[in-house]
Amino acid sequence: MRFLSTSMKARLLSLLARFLMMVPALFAARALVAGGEAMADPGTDIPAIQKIIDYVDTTYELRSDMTAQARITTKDPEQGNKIIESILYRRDRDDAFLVVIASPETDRGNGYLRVGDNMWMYKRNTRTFTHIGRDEKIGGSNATAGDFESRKFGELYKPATDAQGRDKITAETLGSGNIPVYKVEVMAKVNDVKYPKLVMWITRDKYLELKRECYSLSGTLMETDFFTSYKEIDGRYVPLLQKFVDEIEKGRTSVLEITGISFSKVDDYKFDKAYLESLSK
Amino acid sequence: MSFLIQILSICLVAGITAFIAYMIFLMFKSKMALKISTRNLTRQFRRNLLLGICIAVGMAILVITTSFTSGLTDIIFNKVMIYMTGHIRVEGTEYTSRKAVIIRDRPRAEELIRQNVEGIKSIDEEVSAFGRAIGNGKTSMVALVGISRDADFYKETNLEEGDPRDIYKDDAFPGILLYKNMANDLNVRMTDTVRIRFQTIYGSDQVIQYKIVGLIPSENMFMDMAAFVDVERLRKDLQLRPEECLGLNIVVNYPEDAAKVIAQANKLYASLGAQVAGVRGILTGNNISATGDVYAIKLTAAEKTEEIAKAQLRFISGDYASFHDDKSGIVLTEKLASELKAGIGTKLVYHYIPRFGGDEVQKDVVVKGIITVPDSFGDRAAFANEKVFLDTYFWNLPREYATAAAEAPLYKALLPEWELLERSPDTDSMMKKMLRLNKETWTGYRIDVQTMYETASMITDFQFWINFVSVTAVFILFFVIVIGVVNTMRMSIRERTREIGTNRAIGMQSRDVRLVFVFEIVLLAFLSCVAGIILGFGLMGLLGLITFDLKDNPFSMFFVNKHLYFMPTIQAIYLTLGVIVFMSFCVAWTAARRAAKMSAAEALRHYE
Repeated sequence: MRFLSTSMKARLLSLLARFLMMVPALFAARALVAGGEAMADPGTDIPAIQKIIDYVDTTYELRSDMTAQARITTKDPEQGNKIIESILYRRDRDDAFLVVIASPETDRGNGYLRVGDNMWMYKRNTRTFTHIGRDEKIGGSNATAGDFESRKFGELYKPATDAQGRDKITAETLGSGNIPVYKVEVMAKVNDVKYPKLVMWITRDKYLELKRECYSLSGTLMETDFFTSYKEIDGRYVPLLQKFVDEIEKGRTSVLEITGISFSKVDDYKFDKAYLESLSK
Repeated sequence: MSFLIQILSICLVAGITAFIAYMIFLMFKSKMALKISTRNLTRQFRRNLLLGICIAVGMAILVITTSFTSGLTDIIFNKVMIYMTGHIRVEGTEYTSRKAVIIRDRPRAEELIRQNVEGIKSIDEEVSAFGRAIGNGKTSMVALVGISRDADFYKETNLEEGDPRDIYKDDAFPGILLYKNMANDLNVRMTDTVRIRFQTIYGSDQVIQYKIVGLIPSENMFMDMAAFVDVERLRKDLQLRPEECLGLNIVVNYPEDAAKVIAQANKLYASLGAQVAGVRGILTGNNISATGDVYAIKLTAAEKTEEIAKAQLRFISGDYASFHDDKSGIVLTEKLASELKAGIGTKLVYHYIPRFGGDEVQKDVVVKGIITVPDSFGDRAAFANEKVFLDTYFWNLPREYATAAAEAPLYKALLPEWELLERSPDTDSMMKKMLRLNKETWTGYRIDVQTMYETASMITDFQFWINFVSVTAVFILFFVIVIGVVNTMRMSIRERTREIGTNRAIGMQSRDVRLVFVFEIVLLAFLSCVAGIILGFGLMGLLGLITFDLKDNPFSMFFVNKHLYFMPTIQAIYLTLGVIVFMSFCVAWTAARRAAKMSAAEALRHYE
């Protein structure tokens, strides 16, 4: 068993950051599904993209504490396959979170804790906490604490339009199951987004995002994400299986599996250094 | 320190020149002594030859070591440091919604540099990116370096294949130059394409496909990672404007003069005093527009700053707390509010023309207070929440700046154009400074001025120790040479005691006796040194032919084209020769005194 490599840490942190901070936007509440018809433009079945963006942001507001177990399987032609398991706790009140690594054994008990503006990395072997500044690379990875900060989707993206000024949204079907979806294209409205262009496939009935293509500034497809195995938990739909396919370095994929997810209140003592330390005793 | 060394060198050169002139004068004046000395040199040919060889070998070693350390200095200062940081580097770090190392207004920065730094050879803008290259089934980390079209790079770089200027030739894919080792690592050849993924200055993912238009022979590990592309293309791909770059590297004419480089950096630093960040912009609301000087209040700074803001913003309506808490909040002077017919809660659009073209910058703001005119400000001033400027000002500098008087009581509470980071004396303190800054929560723009003596003090320390070892070797060799000379002198005097007596008996003055011995040793030392110089150059030529394949060794950075690099200097050789001859003279003079003081009778009575 080997220690997590730098690139693995980067992948782990980047995926968990996405899940902890951005995934709430993927949750479609029942209330929104009920109001889905209101999104469609009069005379057409296709809704305006801005309305979808607004709904995504509204669902984003519907947040709560969360507990989950995450299993990340990465495949890399150069580094081989690796599996990382972790337990996640998130406190809605102040966006605090705790990530505790459960496996591989060599990293078991290591963790990341964020409370307020402070983020720490804990190493079980040395029983030390290292404070991570906003811009410091975490554990030698490319991820920074700043990656765990979130902004509304609507602050970042706007509808992409064609030459006639019409929204780039079409109704089509996806996959062998012919799932009816809307194919939606959005463009960055600010400079500081990771992907300046996104193409998303969203189910027509419940507005669940099933697939996303992420494009670079030069228009190259960088990554394709798949969100499947949606499950209704406490009135929210959560994609329990997410797959991220690197389109540039072929063969590199990451699969994030979520289990044991709960939106019940998480006790405050879990967002404390002492708790993280006690786990490794 | 460097100044003292320079003074010492000048004094040594002057002293040695004076000594040589004196010796020549003496030789002309005492032709007889010179003639006897020359004859004596050939009389004890074997002994003198052995001593001469010893001096010549010593001299050759000294020539080689001084040339090697000079070569190292040349590599460090003129081949490594120039590419790494220049001799003086000006760097700006901006923190708005994310951190970016960037200089937004390059023309202004360059003007300030030209006004304050002497002896500038060039000011090189840095446009580069660190990314991951994807070749044929292989990947590697790569440092993309933008090369301007008029750079010396094209003259100085010899390619194994291709033409360096093809990097900016119109083609389906932009061109790239790779080092041979990197190309091998990526499993690519000429005309293949590589994709390089990196992040723009705003953190967006970027992938560019490049065509390999040239392969550079790998010189050392330090450079293998670099890949060269057209600066203008890379600037665009990094989302930089034409007036923007990541840093400015100043190359000066006196890189080895540490004191001067640091003094010039300090002078530049002192000249970089910042004004407040202010915009002469337009506020529009209720279908009315009014021009105003808009500033931002620092809200993430120390409490003291906030106290100043609270004391100096005298609210007629609204309050400081609501202004502080609203990221789009703005407070207006009474006159401006009246012109705009604005009250608390009025929504306005704040807009201005950016300095370097592009669309007008717009930002929605909400009036959170109406204030009396703060001391030393105009009656059309407006003060925005810091966040308003973080979203607009730094990314889009205004065409028209608004300034404020430094003595204004509110001045210290205003967001500055930039803050200057304290100067660091060495790499250690610079690293500590960077770690501290990483942990700090700050917003705005900070400028740092560094010299290579700080950014790479470890390399310059390494060079110091190489020089130290070289000087120590020189002293040991001098010591060995001195012992050889003393020994030869003692033997000579002993063997020639009766001859000295004869010479003294027929009228030779004691001064001439001394000169005979001194000239003999000085001539021997001089001729041996000349032979040593020739030998040294020969050996350097041979050593330079050996190829060292140090691909993965960090010391490879001290080799050029896999070969040892020697840079002999006339000054170093002249000094070494002068010192050896002078030392021989001193030793000979002391020993010859004994011979000169002998009385003729005493000398003639001498028997071995």
